[in-house]
Amino acid sequence: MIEKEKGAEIGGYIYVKYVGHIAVMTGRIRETLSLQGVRTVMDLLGVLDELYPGFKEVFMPPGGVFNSRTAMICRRAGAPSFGIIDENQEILDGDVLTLW
Amino acid sequence: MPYGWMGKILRVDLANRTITKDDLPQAWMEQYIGCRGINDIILYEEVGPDVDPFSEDNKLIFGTGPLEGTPIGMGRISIQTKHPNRFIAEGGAGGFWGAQLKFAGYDFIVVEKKSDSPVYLLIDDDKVELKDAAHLWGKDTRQKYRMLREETGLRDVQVGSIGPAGENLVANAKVQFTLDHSGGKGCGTIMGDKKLAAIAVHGTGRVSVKDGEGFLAAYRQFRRNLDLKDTIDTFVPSWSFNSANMLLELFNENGWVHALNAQKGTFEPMLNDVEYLDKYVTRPHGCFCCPFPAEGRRFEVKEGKYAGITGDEREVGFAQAGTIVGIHSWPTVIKFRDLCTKAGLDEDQAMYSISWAMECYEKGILNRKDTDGIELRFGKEDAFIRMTEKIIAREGFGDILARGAAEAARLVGKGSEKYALTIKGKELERMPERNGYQMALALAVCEGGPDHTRWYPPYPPNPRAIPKGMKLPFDPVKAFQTRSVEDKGRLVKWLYDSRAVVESLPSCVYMIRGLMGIDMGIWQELYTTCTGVETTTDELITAGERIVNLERAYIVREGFRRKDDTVPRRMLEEPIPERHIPPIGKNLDIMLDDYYDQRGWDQKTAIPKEETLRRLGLDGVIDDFRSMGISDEIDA
Repeated sequence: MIEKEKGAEIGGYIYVKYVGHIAVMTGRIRETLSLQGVRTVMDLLGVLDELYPGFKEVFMPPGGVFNSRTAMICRRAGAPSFGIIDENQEILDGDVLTLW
Repeated sequence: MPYGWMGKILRVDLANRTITKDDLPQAWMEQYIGCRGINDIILYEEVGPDVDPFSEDNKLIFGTGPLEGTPIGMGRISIQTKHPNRFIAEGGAGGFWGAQLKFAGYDFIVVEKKSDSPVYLLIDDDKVELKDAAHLWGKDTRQKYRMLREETGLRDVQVGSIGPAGENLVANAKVQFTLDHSGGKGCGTIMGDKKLAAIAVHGTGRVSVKDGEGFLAAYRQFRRNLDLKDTIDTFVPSWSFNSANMLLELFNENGWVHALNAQKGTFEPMLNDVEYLDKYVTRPHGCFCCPFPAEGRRFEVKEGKYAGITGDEREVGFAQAGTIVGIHSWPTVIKFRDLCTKAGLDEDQAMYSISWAMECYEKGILNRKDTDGIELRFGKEDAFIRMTEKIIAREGFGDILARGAAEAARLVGKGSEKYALTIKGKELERMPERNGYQMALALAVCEGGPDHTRWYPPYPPNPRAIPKGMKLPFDPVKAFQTRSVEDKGRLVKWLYDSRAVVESLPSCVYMIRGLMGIDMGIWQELYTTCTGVETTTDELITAGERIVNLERAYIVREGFRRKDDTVPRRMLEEPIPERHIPPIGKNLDIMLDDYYDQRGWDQKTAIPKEETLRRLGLDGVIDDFRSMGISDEIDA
């Protein structure tokens, strides 16, 4: 279970921004999440699906392709941001993810 | 009459007050598709390099295409003229005006010569007349619409008009339509020069399609591509809910905004799209047959000093004015939008000219005396609004800015030219050049100055979502690498050629989503079932390529060369440190070489080679280039 807005002992944190219709799903436009138990984008989707039921299906349609009608952009310390098209993309402490 | 078409061009001579109805040449329909493409050939053949943009020989063309008046056309119109900077001023607008022109029985209007007093053109089916417009001159665009609706007694009349910006010959002034649509940066300026206040159109006819069942089937496929359930496009869901305003947060997070005249890539606190939705949007209000409920929205300011302002919008552009001039207030940017809409003033012209002046003010190049006592610093909301009003009225320092940032910089001098964000003398359009190399290239080579609608959207769908076996003219994975020069020539060529087809059918750039941006099959089905013209997707793309080459030939004939295909110095030389984004540097030259190669243009001059022009059937251009000595430049 993820801890929100609270320090985690290991794994660090990421900052997630929800844009457009995704913000309608979450009811919020940004939040800090712990990376405990989260290594990849797929792991993160699992966590977000617990918080916001149905979330994973939006980004990974059953039988479909990850991020075929959604998008994620990752901003990582010291580098320009990049788009995520692979659900196995690793997430690092301090990443800022924008989801829409 | 050919299916899809009305087969008529209205020619309106403002000096002699005569109106003729010509047949639309069959060859133009076959070679240039319609709308923007046929506007191009009219302009190329009838407004040559000897024509001064402000002379009576310049022409103003309003064009539709074979799919206008069907649900695919979205009410669109393409407007063209020779821009005061001598390139092609072209712009499309949606709403209902284009469909009404078709229903009235016409595909094109060519406005010729100049009137010596204000007039407007009234088209009511067969009845077409020029009428006195002294009472309209000086009124804003919404007033003109209301007055014309009242005096014509036509409840459904659609009006395209200029406001005080066009009347005062402000640079890049636009033509405004119902629902606050606007288009044709610079066309409003020329319309003002011709003293044509408005064109009111009302029609009761209809457009015939060749194969009704086939067209309906193609239309259903079109809608499936835009359906939330079936789409493979990242923007379809968000546009169905809250329009392109979500780009505000996205752009800001990634350092893509032109904050403080593009000195920075981010701006905090950024205007928030959800706040806009909550506080200001009152209801959806889309174009003719638009499938996106959120794409057109009515807004209203309910409190504060700008209470009572209402209007329509479709995209985020006006809100980015906030970052560019450093303000955080929704009511202020809405007021700015309202001023521009009523005046027919181009938002980009105004926001980038003022942001240039603000940077010059803060760097000491301009002072309070220069700016009529206004402290023109970033973040000064009242100064921003006051200077916008002065641009429209061409009053004091506003008269300098009314000429656009490039010309204002030339007049002011003192090194201020370094801060003008223009290409071919026209202001930018809020695109992230330093973070999206295909966008930098596409903006640099645009024949009409910066115009994102000619190549948008600038990327394919997620490569993994593209059906296996689909042959593409570029590598979709490389296309996704936005800060790499790899394969950008082929990508940008495809974007230009395919979008030229869609804009000529016409349809709206917002519809080019998912597979429809990479597979011309659906567009070919719609075109063939509507017109009955058997064609292939390759032939359509070749027509798009012909259109782009004709536009290039036009500006080459006017003297534009490779040196003009560039982006502002800031984008080439300055990084965005807060997001670790480097300047473009020499990468632009590498991409230009690649693009010209892909096009069959001379690398050194950006002039289309004879073999390219011959392949596209542009033999008349070859003759022109030879007679003008342009061909010799390639060999030199």
